Amino acid sequence: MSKFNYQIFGLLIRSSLEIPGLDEIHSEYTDVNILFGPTPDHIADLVLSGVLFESSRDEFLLKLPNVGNYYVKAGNLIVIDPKPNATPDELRLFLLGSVFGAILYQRGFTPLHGSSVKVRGKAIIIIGRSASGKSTLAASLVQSGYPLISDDLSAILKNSGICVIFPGTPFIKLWKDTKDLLFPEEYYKRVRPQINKFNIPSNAHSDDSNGVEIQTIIHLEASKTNSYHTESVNGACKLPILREHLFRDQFVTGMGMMNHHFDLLSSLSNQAKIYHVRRPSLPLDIETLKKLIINEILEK
Amino acid sequence: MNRPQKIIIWLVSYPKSGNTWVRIFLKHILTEVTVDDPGIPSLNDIPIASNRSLIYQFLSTASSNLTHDEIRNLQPAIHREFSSH
Repeated sequence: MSKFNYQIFGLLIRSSLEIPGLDEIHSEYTDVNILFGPTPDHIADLVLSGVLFESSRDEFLLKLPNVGNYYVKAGNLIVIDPKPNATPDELRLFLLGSVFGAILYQRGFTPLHGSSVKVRGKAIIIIGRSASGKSTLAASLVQSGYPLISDDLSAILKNSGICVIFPGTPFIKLWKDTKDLLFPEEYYKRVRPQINKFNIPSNAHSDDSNGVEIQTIIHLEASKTNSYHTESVNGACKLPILREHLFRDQFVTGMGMMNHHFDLLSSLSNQAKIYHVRRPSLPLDIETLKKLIINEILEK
Repeated sequence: MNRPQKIIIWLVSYPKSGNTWVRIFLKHILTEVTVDDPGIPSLNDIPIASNRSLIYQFLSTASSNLTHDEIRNLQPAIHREFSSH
């Protein structure tokens, strides 16, 4: 079976599953192998289990009834056991989401649930709950010429005392209404055949394989206001906001790594400016939000 | 994360029999109401078993990546997990 070599989150990946849209690289060395094969039924030294997953310090098992099982070990191996009817797009969706989240945790990254763009050489991360508009805002900023660093999963490490984020895959996932608004003329593939969410390739993408220094974090919230509002978050209020947005934080509790993540997040809360941005729940006026973010935060 | 309150109330009723109204007054009873703000709680602030943040809390993947049928099939496991925590 042919193998594809990529770089994602600064890691050298050797994959049996093709990931279209990523440039192939040539490398003798591999950080993470992605193979097809049988996965264990359970994890032996189970520390934590939840709906659809089991995990320990260095193992993670995700079992998706209609897609397949994914087994992640020691930060360097991902085994995929697909269900017969699973499409490659579906397999990639969960691989590049939860499964990569698990491998990043195993390798000591601190992943945040957020999307990121590059502004004058520094990273801006947009965090927020599901459906707060992270990807929508990121997509509209990319349309305005800011290169994408990552969508949904932000992989962070401390490098010589500075928190940096590594570029993910060059796609943004958007629901149909947002896609139609931002990219009305274009044809894109659905993330899964039954789901009205689309994979949009970003036309500008960061290729900083050593990471990008994080300068600003935008905490986006859909709320019951009628207006758009930004305010700076200061002091002791910063850390809890970051803690709340650890990517799939249910994975971490069983790994005994919380002190490590707290250390990084507290460095990050000292390093980065954090803004709380409120937007009306519905409707979202993307142009207004984008202009506010650019004028009040990015280009201030 | 906005963890749901750890009080589970199963409200079982036919459609149109007033369960939304009962949810509002249950929330009102269970919330400390101040003199300054005696208002009726918004439906958005009343946790419900089908709430997306509850699903997210116990699921290892974003609920938006799952189909309606998949989420429906997972509901019993999610509720089991919620009640055992």
